[in-house]
Amino acid sequence: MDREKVLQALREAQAEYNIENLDEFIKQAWEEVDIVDAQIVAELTERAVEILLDQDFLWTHIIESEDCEEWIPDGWYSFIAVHPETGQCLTFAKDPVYSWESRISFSARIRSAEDAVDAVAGLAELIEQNLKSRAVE
Amino acid sequence: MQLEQLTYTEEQIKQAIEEVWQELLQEADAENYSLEEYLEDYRKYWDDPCFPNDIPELIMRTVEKIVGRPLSWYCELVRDPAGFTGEYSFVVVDPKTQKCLTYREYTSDGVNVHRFINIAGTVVNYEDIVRLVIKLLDQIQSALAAA
Repeated sequence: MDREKVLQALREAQAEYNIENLDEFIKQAWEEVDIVDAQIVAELTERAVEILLDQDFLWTHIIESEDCEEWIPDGWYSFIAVHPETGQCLTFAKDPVYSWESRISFSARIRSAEDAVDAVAGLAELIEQNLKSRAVE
Repeated sequence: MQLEQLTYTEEQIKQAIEEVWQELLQEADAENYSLEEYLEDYRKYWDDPCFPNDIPELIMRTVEKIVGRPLSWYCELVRDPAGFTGEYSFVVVDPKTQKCLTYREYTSDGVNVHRFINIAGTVVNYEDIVRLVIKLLDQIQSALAAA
């Protein structure tokens, strides 16, 4: 995935969300364990993927927690994307070790703008790969 | 949703829930802990992560037992700033076709299309578990039939 294109998509998404400093915003969301800002980080990541692939998807995301008892976001996110027309799960992947196992979500650590670039690139690659491979018939 | 519309009975679902509960107990090396006792503890301590995490496993293994094959799934324990709300949100995918089985589409006013990829429900007691299993089975059944 072309890093410059990923950065451009993130910049566009950032503008849509009226965020001045993306790195600061993401770091703050994590360090201040702000669930509302963490929600925005997840949505912004999804939007950047859509801009990058020039396509809309149906999404669900999970803001993961480090301390389950206190439900403190730990900077990890899980994303599930589904094709809006076919219903195909686009974040589906076979486990690389246990081939009989599969997962339907993409997990990424997003604690900085640099992490967001990696997350958007990884997510977009997986979605693209699933779009190219056997689609739901 | 009426149970009569389904090809499985409430009795079968309850039987499957009990079987799965026994399997979970065996795996945890735990004995003599009935589902009723568990649910009493769950209601007292549901902000403790030990309790809510067993519910999705119980529900989805029951669904898989009735469907007759493993499914790929993800469950979110829905939270708000105050903590766990008691609501579980499931996304289920057929590992054979990669099709999202909890994908639903509604049209309102003949124009607006609303699409969802999850099935959610709140669990407080045993009947809620049965209700959520039925809700998931009903959705999965129609998605598999449409495929």
